[in-house]
Amino acid sequence: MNTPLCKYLRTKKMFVPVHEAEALTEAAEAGTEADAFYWCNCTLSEIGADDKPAHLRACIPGRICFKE
Amino acid sequence: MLSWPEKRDVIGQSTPRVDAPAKVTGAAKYSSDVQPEGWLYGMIYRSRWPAAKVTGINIEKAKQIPGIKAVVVERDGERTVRFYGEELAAVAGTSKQACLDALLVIEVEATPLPFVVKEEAARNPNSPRVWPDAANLPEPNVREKGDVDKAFAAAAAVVEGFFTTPTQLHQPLETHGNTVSVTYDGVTCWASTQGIFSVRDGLADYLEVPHEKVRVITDHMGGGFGAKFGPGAEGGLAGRLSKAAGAPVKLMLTRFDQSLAVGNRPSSFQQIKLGADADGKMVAFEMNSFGTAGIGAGASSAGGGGGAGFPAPYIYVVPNIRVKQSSVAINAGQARAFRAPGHPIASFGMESIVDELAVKLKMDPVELRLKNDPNKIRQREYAIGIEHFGWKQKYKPPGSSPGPIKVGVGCAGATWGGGGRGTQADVQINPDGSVEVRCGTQDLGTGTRTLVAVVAAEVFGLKPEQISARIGDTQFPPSGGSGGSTTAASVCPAIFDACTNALQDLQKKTGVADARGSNWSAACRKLGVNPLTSHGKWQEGLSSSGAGGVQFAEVEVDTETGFVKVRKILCVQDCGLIVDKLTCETQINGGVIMGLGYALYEERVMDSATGVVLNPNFETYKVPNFADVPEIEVILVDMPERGVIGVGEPATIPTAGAIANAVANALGVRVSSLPITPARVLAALGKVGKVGSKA
Repeated sequence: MNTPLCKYLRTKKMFVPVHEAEALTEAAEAGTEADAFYWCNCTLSEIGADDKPAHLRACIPGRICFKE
Repeated sequence: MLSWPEKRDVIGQSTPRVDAPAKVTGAAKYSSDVQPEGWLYGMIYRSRWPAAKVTGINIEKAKQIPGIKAVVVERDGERTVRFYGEELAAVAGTSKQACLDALLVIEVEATPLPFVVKEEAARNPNSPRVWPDAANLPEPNVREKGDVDKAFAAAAAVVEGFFTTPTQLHQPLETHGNTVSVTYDGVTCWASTQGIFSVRDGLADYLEVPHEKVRVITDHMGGGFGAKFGPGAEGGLAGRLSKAAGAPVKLMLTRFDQSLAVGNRPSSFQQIKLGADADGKMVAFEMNSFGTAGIGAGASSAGGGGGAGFPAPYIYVVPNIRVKQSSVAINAGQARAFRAPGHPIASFGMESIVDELAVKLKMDPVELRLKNDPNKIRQREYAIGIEHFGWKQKYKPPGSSPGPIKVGVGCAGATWGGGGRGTQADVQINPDGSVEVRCGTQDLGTGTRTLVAVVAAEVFGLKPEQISARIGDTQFPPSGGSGGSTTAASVCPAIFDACTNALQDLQKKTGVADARGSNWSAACRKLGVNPLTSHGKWQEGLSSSGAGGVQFAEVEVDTETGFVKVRKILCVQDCGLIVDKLTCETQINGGVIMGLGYALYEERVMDSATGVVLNPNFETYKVPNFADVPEIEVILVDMPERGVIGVGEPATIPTAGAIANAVANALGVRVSSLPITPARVLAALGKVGKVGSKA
């Protein structure tokens, strides 16, 4: 993705080196494989500090809790 | 480029676990066994509402309970809770009873909100929204190829079916949890995790300390199936409690907690249509499906399914396809990765409709698969399976088994990626000949520690028990998390590289031309008094990805009680170079048993009236026990030329589909919803009313 993502956004594939490069890409959400779940490292929850879901397309600039 | 030795003395043999003595004597300390000096119990106060606006949490009375040393609120300020079980506060005390007493006096001001916990209800646009700004049901992901309508119109045979799979709960024997000690010097965490570095990453951010100040240890842990990445809310809360109390806090979830809030396999509801020509060649596939990933689904996830998507059509090549998938949000705990995410769901639906097509075409189901599955490895595995299982003798027309207890057989196939990368390791050779291998991976119970010892023993010409395999500590060279069946393929090449380097260094330093085997002790003595340390890392050419696997099931079904007994599962599985035959077979056994649970027993039941999980324990959420486990025969297809490929996931994928097809073969009618309970069998036979799919 070209849009910057929050530094606290996490998903499992980020921690699996063979999948790390594709972890935060559109392909991960393409629907041809099981799609991903995300969490926020600030809250350690699937819900971010602003009470909204952590997600590849949601943890972007403009969100109140976004951190570069 | 490195390559595995042509002649292998240890690799590929059946090596017992090197830590088996420690495990059977109790010497092995699992993460939940750890008791650092002065440790406190930790417990979580959870939402009792499936949806509510929380305006205040009063913890003052909890702080006054004797023995309570710390109480924290999960998050300050007003908030909305969206499922029964969401974390609101946590307590730490000197006893479990003190914690329980403290939880009872935490006061929460909350205004209940409307909620919905069933998928079918949540799809109704008028149902309560899980997220106020987003519909529960987003527009579906659509994939289309070819001319589906034309292909169906020209097809010689068309079959349709509606298949459902339940939400399956993560139930490792050791629940999620950590013991966390926060001191002025840093953080130490004993974690039940699939990724020690993921826990370090999470605690460092959450507690705002540098990574190098966080040490995570996982010496032994009791199972993880995809959901144990990062410290989780429970790890973060344990850290805050420890900081507040000035003592280590052990916060292991109860089974009740486990069932509510740490992930699950999403449900699915699949309407499938499949067409073929007169020769059985598939020509058209259409699927409309939905499922739930709990609060993680729906339009709020901005297009993502929160884990509820899955590959379709599964493993077969169909030229014309139309697939529409959506995931609907409900007020329940979010899905997380679960052993082969998406694949068992996909396999069950696809393999069921393939068998329906075989019946309509009056064709042998295996023959139909061989016509449409282009994968050469699975073709080979089916051929092996037909022979060993006695398929041609056992397969009879559906429903033709005589008597009230009917026998049937079925089969199904799988695919999985896996692959390796990104692991480093150190090897220390000591003057007395002892060897220490250090690697920051973790053993989920699959035998990773044994694989480390096997590879090192192979290189040095020693026995595995002569190797000290030290893993599960972030102070060791880094390795990735254990997910996606990537551990063996990531770790084994790194160990091989490090040991190869160490052997070369030893031989160079001591002048011993070949220090292996019987020369080992003498060569090591030449080191003098100082050990030798060498480093290695994952290398190309020693591992690869892409496993197949097929399974055959034989069942008997009591048509008077509806009880299904699985007699036998045959698994024919490729996994590249087999490192340890015994751990490979046992991991496949575990995958099959988990698949058996998915097929026959496991299902989260939500209560529409209260929004609670009605079966959050092992009394009401049944997993297979030893009496349920059939004969499992494993045939490993050794392909050493492919290098190491993980096997944790593929073996659990086709089990449910194979069992479902065997039940349909026995009865002559299909039970199209998992789990295949006695009630559903009797309903399929028309002996009782239809059983809901729990949507």
